[in-house]
Amino acid sequence: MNEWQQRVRRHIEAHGLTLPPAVVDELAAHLEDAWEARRSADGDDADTFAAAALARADIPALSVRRAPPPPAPEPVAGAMWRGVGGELRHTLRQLRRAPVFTAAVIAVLALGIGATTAAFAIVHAALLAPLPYADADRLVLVWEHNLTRNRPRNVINPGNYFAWSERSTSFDRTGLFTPTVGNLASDGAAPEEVRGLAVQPQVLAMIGATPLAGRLFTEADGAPSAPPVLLISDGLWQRRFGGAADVVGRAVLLNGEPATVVGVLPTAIDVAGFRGEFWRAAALPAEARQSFRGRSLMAMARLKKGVTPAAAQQELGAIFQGLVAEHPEFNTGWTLNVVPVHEQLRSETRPALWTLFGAVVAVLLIACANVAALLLVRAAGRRHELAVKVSLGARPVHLARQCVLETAVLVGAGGAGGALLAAALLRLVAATAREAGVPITTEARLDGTALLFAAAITAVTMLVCGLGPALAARSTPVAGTLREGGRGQTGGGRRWRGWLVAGEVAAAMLILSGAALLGRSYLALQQVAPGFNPQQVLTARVSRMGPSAQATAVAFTTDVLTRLRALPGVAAAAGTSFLPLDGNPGIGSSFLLADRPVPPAGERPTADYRPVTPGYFAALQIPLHAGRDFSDADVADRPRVAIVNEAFVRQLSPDVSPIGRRLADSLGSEQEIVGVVGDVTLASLGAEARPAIYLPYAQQTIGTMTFVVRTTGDPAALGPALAAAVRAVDPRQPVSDIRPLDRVVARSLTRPRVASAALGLFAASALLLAAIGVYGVVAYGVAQRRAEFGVRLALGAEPGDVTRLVLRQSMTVVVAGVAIGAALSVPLASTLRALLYGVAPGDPATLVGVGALIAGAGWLATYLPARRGTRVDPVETLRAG
Amino acid sequence: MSSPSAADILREAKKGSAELVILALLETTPRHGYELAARIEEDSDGALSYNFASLYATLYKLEERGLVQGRWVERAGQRRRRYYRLTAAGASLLGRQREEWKQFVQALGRIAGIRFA
Repeated sequence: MNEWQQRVRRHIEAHGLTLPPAVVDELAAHLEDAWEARRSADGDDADTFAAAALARADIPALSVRRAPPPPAPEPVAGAMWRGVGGELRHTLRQLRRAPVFTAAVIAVLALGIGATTAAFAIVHAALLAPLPYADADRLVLVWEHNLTRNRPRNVINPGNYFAWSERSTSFDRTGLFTPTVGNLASDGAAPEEVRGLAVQPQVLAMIGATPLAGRLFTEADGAPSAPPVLLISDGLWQRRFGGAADVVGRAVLLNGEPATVVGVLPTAIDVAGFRGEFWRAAALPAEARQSFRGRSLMAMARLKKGVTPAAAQQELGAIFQGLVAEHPEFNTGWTLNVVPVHEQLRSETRPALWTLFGAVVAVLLIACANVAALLLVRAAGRRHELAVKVSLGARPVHLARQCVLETAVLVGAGGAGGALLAAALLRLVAATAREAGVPITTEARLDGTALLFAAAITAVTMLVCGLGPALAARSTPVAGTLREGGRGQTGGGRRWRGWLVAGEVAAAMLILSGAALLGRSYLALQQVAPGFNPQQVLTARVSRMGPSAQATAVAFTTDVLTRLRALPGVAAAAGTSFLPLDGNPGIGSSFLLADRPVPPAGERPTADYRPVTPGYFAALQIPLHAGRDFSDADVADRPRVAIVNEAFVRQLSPDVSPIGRRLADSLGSEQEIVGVVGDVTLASLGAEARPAIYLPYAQQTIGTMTFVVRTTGDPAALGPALAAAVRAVDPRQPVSDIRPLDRVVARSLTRPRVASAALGLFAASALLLAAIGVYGVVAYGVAQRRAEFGVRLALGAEPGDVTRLVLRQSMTVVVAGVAIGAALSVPLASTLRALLYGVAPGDPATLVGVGALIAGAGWLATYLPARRGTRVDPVETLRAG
Repeated sequence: MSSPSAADILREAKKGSAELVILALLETTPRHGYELAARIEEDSDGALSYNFASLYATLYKLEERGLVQGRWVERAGQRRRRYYRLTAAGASLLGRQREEWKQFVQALGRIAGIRFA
């Protein structure tokens, strides 16, 4: 209910009458009309005039329209709320009267709140929510830290593990585990390759796993002589066994050896981020305690109550110094590294996620600024109405309450819309993430915490958006506003809007520069030559496991390759144990050059070892720079040979040709270098090439083999023929991951692509919102200053002068925003450092480019409304004034 | 008992004329209450003006008798107003009242020597 209506109602009530609201409205409208007419006639006594008219009103005459008596006396609380209810209805009516304004505000807020809530749900699930383990904050992983190669999370050695786990007093439990793959066969169905984990029984107990059926492993299952037992995932249970109730106790073949299923675990269970579809009880032979050769395992430990990770780190550091003294050949240059599980799981995604969250919050702030500006503009348009109300006795607090109510309705609607949008966004993100293979967001959903967050940011938004207009309403100067006749604007209001625009522009600058840096990194990564040609190559992996696999592996591989090369459309076919960029870094080991003195322990060179078949370099078009490729003659009983890469030559044999030099690996066998090939990016695009040693597969056989087939046509079309060639050699051999090599390469860039695309999306919204903000404020300012422009034009100013005046004033604010944003973006962008490639956080070209883009958008957003200012007819505006 | 003063007579005449005036002003165009009040005052050079509450009381009575019909109208950029239009019954009453007032004024002129331009 507006102030006129309240006054009329009070006046009627003073006569002991209750009249229908429609009568009150009609009389109030009449008074308001009378007031306006009086004021536009001669001005000053309009208030007195209207007040006097009301005082003289013959109210009793109106009793012809007496309202029916209320049905029952209202309770006290109802009476108290009646005023608010009326005001709410009035507010809703007011908003309905301005549908474009209302829809714009609600849409902007729903977008801002929805995006922020969705981002929060993701950050919460990925970074903040408690981990799904019992005693999660006491669980740590213990890695070996290679100090010379700067690899702080290296897999560990069993001998070292038993030594430190027995000597340490920091833990109440420790256990070993390692990811593995296995060929699973059951019920005579075709075997399939399945990823799993080999775990010591106590590991599953430590993470608090609860079986859906059957039991966990017992201590006895981990004994070397125990019969092999398996746990399978819920997913595998459904997929492979149709959810059969009697799966527990069933006999299966894992890598050709019998094993018994003893239980089913939830699919979502992971051991510090490592997942699998089966868990095998790891049985370590007794001699593992004394094995100080090779590192291939992982260890989880649970801290005793009250022991911090730092204290455990200190203790293990000291224990490992003893192990260095006991096994200097093996342990010099190494130490132990205690990593809390939550750190292990979250450290990698943290910078990207917080960056995205920061960007989303900045977009929300820009949205808030826009809404606040819109509300201020609306409030300014109604200052006149408010001033009238104040002159008729409304208290400023009352007016502020009305403003707050309006903001509350708008932001409340925006918040509700935002929650719906967030739920939709999360479903979309989860689907996209599943498709892209980014696992982190699949658990994010709109739960109680996320809804609470949405409510909280809605409340904060309400405060941020409503504060300005409410304060403006409270400080409405009556006399000045009425004299202005509602045309002017105060310097205070203009300053407010200036700050809002500068803030919006600065926030847009921050997000846009971050997005530009990530985008440039992604482009730079795409330009990185991987050292091979991934086009028109099909890949497929086979794992030869089980008792006879090793003995038959070479014959099997040779046979399959012969069949593949005979297929129509195949230009070349070969095999490698580790496909580049497939996420498996393969084997790294130290070695010696036979013609050099033995360096001290810990300073020995290391290289990536890659068993490959003859023809591998030709198939992937990796250039052979010197010497020869492997041949079919390089078999087990022939002299052992090796091919090295250019990084090897650069680091270890820069002056002498490496051809003919001899290598000794850590297992004691020697190879003669027979060739040099180009560097290949093995781990990730953009990583520095490391020395690599290729060995003939026939001389160094590993169970896993990935076939690479260069085709003359579409590689994907060859998939069935490839699988058939493998099955023709061994009908029970599973074939996995049949996919073109260029897809493997593209997939290795998923993270930078997703990060830059997501930030780019937010940056585009930020730019758009900021431009809309500038446009709105300038358009309003121009409308407010029509009279001033009219005077200027009447006094001889050219239209161009007026446009320039508006542009100058607006661009000052925009440029100030760009400068503030640029200054803030340099320190903020350094948090992105881990995500950047080939571009520095404070890159001047990026900042200048982004600044120019924003300034351009700001100029355009100013120019359009500014030109309207020049179309003012001076005579008309002056007369209107 | 003293005779009524000229002012008293005029007040009564004004009251009596209110219905006629309102119906006449609504004859061609629907108008809202304020517009009616303003037109009455303007067209009569201030000689006729009604207490605004009485004006609405009259409008409500006319509406209850089915002589005018009110309707809320909302126009862009304007506040909500109630517009009244003449009904068919109102139009025929207006015709009758016009005739009666004409006879009344003519009689007054003949007797009191008041001439109308």
